[in-house]
Amino acid sequence: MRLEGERRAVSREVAAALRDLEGAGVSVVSAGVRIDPEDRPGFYAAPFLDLPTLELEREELAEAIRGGTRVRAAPGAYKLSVRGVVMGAGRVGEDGILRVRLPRKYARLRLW
Amino acid sequence: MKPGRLRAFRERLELVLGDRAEDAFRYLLEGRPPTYVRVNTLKADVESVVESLERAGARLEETPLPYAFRVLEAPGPLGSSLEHVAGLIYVQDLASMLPPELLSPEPPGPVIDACAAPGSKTTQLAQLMEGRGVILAVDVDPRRVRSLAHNVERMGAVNVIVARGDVTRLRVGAPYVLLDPPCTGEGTFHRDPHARETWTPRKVRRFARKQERLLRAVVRLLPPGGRLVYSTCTLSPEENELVIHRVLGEDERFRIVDARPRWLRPHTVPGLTEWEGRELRRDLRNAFRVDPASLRSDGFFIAVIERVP
Repeated sequence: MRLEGERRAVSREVAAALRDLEGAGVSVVSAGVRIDPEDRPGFYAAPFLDLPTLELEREELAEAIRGGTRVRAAPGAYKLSVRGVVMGAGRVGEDGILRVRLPRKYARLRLW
Repeated sequence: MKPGRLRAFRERLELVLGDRAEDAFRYLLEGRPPTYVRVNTLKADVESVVESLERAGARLEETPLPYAFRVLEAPGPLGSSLEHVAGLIYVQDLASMLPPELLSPEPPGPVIDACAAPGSKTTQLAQLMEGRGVILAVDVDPRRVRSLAHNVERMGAVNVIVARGDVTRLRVGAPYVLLDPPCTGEGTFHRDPHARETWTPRKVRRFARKQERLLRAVVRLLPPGGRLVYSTCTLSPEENELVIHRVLGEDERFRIVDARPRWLRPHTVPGLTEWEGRELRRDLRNAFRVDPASLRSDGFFIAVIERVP
């Protein structure tokens, strides 16, 4: 579904309920999870997209969140997994750098 | 906290917790709060997330809730773990996981979470509903709504609608309603110095007025057969039993039920049916306080209110 121009993953019932909320006395801010374009997916879109999986070391993912890290993978969008656990989605550019789309606050953390 | 207020707080604790008051007082004023995490089963199974955290150097201990763990040791703040950033965990106190558990919503709902930000209970409700149905998460504060929306994204809760608005003006009904209104936070004194230092009996009365207004508004959203959980992380009767008593009076269309699971009972104290010489609804004894020193958690008050079918 689309909300304020964004493509979002929502449950079937949410899509129907959104129509009924007009005049309910609240203003809808968002619903479900933002997906973004499939070739440049949001980090949290991983469960909703059919993408190949890129296996990473913990530190590599932390580097990608801090700004980007060089990986051995073809350019394109991937699900990012650490030891078999899918953590999010990201994109490897033509320059071989993996980047993810997350709020900037996470780049400032001492991730572990 | 000033000595006079400290004394007043302690005396009030004795009235609501009886012989548990001394331990609770020490725990809330001097205790080191444990950290708990909730594994987000919308994104991964419990086992693999626990393994992932443990491989990274964390040490976890099981709790009676299958998806909740006490963190005994971690290489850094939980909020800086990859599991947190990825939305595989939510740092949330064990007692704060009880209101959604006791609301026990079933899809399709809908569920209304009336003071939802920052979203710990909203996203727990979403996982209890297995990502199905509808949860309408409402909050009045625009800044807090932003953090609510982000947490819903982070946790991958596709069954949540985030809305900004005053719940007293809400014009939709729902068979499941959660109201966890702003409170003085007496049950979080051990980890919230601001709540501790700014506590006064007057502040209690001020919050009680707001809570009454909110409860009065959400009770009317409940159809016959509906269920409402009223919870606060505070222990004062003015913000709990008295709010419920003032709103429900002796209205027999509503009943307060004892929904405590067996494991929780030893860590709780029944709600009061009398305060300062005034008799309250008798079924308030089915509401309860979580004894923070016993559960090693925040102090909480919870009432499960059902509207008779």
